[in-house]
Amino acid sequence: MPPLVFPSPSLSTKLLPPLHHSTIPSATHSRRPHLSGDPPRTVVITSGKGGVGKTTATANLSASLARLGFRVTSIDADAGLRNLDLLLGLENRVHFTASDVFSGECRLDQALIRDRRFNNLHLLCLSKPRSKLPLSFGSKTITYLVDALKTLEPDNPVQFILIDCPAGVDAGFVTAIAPADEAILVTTPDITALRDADRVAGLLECDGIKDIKIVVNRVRADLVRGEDMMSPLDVQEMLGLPLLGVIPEDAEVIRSTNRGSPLVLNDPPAPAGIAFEQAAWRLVEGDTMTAVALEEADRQPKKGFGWFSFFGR
Amino acid sequence: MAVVSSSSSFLSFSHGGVHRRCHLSCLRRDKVSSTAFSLSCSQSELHATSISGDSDPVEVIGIGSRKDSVIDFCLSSSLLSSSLSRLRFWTMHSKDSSGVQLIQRCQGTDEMIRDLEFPLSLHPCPSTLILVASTGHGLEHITATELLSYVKSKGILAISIVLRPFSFEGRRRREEADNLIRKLQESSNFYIVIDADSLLKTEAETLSEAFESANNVVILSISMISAMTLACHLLETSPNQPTKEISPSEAIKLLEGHGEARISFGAGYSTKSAIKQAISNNLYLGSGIKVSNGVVFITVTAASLLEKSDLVPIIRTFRRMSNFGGEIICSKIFEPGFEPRLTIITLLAVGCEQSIEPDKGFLSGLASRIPFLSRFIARQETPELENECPQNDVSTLEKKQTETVDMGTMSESYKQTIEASQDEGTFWSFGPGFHMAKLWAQERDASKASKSVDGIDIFTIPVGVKSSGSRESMQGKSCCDSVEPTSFNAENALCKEESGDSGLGTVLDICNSAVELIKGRSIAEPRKQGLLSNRAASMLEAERETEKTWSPVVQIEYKGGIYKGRCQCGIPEGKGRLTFADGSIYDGMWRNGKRFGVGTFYYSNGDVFHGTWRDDLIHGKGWYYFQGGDRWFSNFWKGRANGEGRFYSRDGSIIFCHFQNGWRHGESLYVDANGSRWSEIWDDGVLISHTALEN
Repeated sequence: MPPLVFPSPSLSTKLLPPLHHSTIPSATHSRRPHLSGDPPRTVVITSGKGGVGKTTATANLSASLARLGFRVTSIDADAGLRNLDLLLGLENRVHFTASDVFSGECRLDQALIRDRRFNNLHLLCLSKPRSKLPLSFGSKTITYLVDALKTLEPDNPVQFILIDCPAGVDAGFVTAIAPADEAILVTTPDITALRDADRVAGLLECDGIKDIKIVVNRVRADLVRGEDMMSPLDVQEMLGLPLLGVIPEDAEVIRSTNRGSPLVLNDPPAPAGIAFEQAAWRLVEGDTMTAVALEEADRQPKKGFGWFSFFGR
Repeated sequence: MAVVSSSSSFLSFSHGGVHRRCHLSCLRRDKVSSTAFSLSCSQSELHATSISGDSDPVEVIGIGSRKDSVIDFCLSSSLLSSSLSRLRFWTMHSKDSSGVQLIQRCQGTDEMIRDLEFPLSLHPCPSTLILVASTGHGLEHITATELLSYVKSKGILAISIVLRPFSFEGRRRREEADNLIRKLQESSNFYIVIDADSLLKTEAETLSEAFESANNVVILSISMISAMTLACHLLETSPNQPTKEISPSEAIKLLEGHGEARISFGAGYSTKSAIKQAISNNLYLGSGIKVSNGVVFITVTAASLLEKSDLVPIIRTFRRMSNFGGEIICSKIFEPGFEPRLTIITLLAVGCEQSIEPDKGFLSGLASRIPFLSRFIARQETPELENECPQNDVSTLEKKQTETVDMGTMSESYKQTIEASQDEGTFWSFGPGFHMAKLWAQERDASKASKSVDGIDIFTIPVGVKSSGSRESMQGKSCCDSVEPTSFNAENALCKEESGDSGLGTVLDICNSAVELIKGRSIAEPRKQGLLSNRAASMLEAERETEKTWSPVVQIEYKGGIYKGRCQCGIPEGKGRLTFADGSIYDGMWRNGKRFGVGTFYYSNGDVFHGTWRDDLIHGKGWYYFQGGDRWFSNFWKGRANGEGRFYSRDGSIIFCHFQNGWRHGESLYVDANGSRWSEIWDDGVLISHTALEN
């Protein structure tokens, strides 16, 4: 475990000077995290409630994984409204989708869109919203698709398949979770997202996905400190599931979305980007983090005392 | 209508007896020749036998599609046991085209087949011939009508009972029935029409129940008619006229010539209730008996010997209840096989018009009474009842009759309210499990299981009363308390010990104190962010389902019996049925191995309890259906009656009372079968005071 993984990332990242590169995994001792589990790993990123950051998490995690050197295919499993291509900046290059593959118009590898920045990142959209032949996807269909993806290039097999799940718990959700072995549950610290996440966790367990991890998104440390927002620890305790990552609220998310470039590729890295990187690292290694409660209400950041924040609680 | 040709063959009923051999033989009519009837028995003999003589047989012949079921019903009923020796049942059966057979139906399997031909040979000479006609008889009605007119011409009483078809049987059958009635008007002395269709219209009964009640009417009319020829009857020509005795033939003359007769019946534990039911049985009687110049023939059937003087108050009561002003002929039938105070009143009304609506009190509650009635009539076990004929029965009967006469002085409106309230009470007293309880009681009767107590409390009648020798009890049963035996309590205590969460608690305490020592602070110290996470926690708690997941139905041995239902951790939880070794069954909800929630307990002696349970005991509200027919609704607390309770006894009396710890305690209202009300005060199961309520 690299020593740069701090117990309370949200607090520590705020006090870091912007040019400190030691948090970027690639610049330190171990270049790559150790891949746990058998490749290819199929992970579905779901939340239940809409707007909590599933697509953002998928885009950034897949970009991080690609940068770490893993072969990643991300699938936008929202057959009706697709957004993952926008976040990755690939919206102008989507010509063939999985529905075209099934109707026989193209091959599977033609439908995969390769990212220009990373050779090992591919995107697959399920359907175009304005397609002339609406094809409804079922669980068996998408499982067949993912199996095909796994065996597509035998000499360079895909190692990660990230599936971006649509919002809700209806047929789209059921379809998206069908081929997955693991799940990442994205939630925000508010009570509505908590309830939906709880429900989705139950559904995932019913469906057979036992490996569920939580990513708490849009955490505002000042509100948590002022006890207006639930801390990630509370969320984790209530859901009873291991914590993969805590992402702070960051305006950079919006900018990067509009720009079409994933957040993690920012240089200098944004706090949220760093958090996503750390989450990706933990995802690869199969690790979880422990969130710690913030106790101090007011702490004057003084020059000399800034160092103590790394060690204190 | 084609007339069937026949060849002649001889018929002779030869029964053993030598003395009176009267032969009636008849030839089947063919196209050309007319009937040749010859009667070879002497006129004087005939005259003698047709009027009196207990051993005179009454022939009952059935035709039509329902003949077999009706005759079988009559044979197997307990009502006619006393007159069964006199009755002979026959069904008419067309034997190809060569003749008509009369097949005699007896109890058991032996059948005697006789060919029916004119000239008839009937030995010994019957006093009465009753034709029970249902539709679908084909051409048999010709023979039947001929038979009847022949018999009538010989001075034998010929009566026909016509069972009208149901509306679903179609128009053709209805016309057939109308034709038959027209024909029978001349050929029989009088005819009775039974129309059970209106029973179905109100949907108060199923089809089989309608059949059963129609058959009941048939039996009662047969019994009434056979009584008609037996003994002398009492005639009262108009209200307040002195009654005089008339002979059967005079009675018959009075009844004749009015055309269609309607019959009605009522059963009850007192004559008054029986009469009331008979009058309000408007499904057969039409909408009441008008003050007309018709004639009504009443028979009173009871297990006790009635005197002529007993019949007078009955006539008076009937007049008062029905406002009938015509002639009443009253007769009594002695039926030793009846229950001690059961009285059945049958009315035969001739020449009465359909009339205005009678009081509302009569109309209500009839449908609920008919199943009540069928229990008495269709019951099979007569042997034990024959022995139960208490000595004081006649005197109580007389007492009741004087009571009824006294009631005549009360105001009409009060009587109506009593009757109305009684009717409502009967209706509401059928709790939710009543029909199930009836079936269970019949089943336990049939199986005649042993009456062992398995450890569950059994309640006895009267409920909640401490035993005392001097207390006069209605049913004459001894009282015992309703506490569960000690063996059950021991079982209860054992169960408590086994379930224990105490172990986990102590471990948690140890851990908490250790953490306190190590970390220097208490884990239970409230965090600052309590409120927000509390709300979230409570929301999640509400959303998440409990650990009740689907569990399959299993069958295990439990508490000495077999439990079939859902379990959790090896003990019953959820819905399940436990069948004890002695045959009693608990069917309902369980929790943690004990009866909890709504459940029904079917006791081995035929009682049924349907209500709520807690901790393996009856707790909360519930209905207790005794196997004899009484119903009891009460609140319970831990197995004993506590709180308010209502007891609806099978003879019609109702008790509203309070219970405390299983004993009757506090004020109580007792309404007896006649409607008189008593206010009682009880103290811990002992009756303190008992006062009659006026008005």
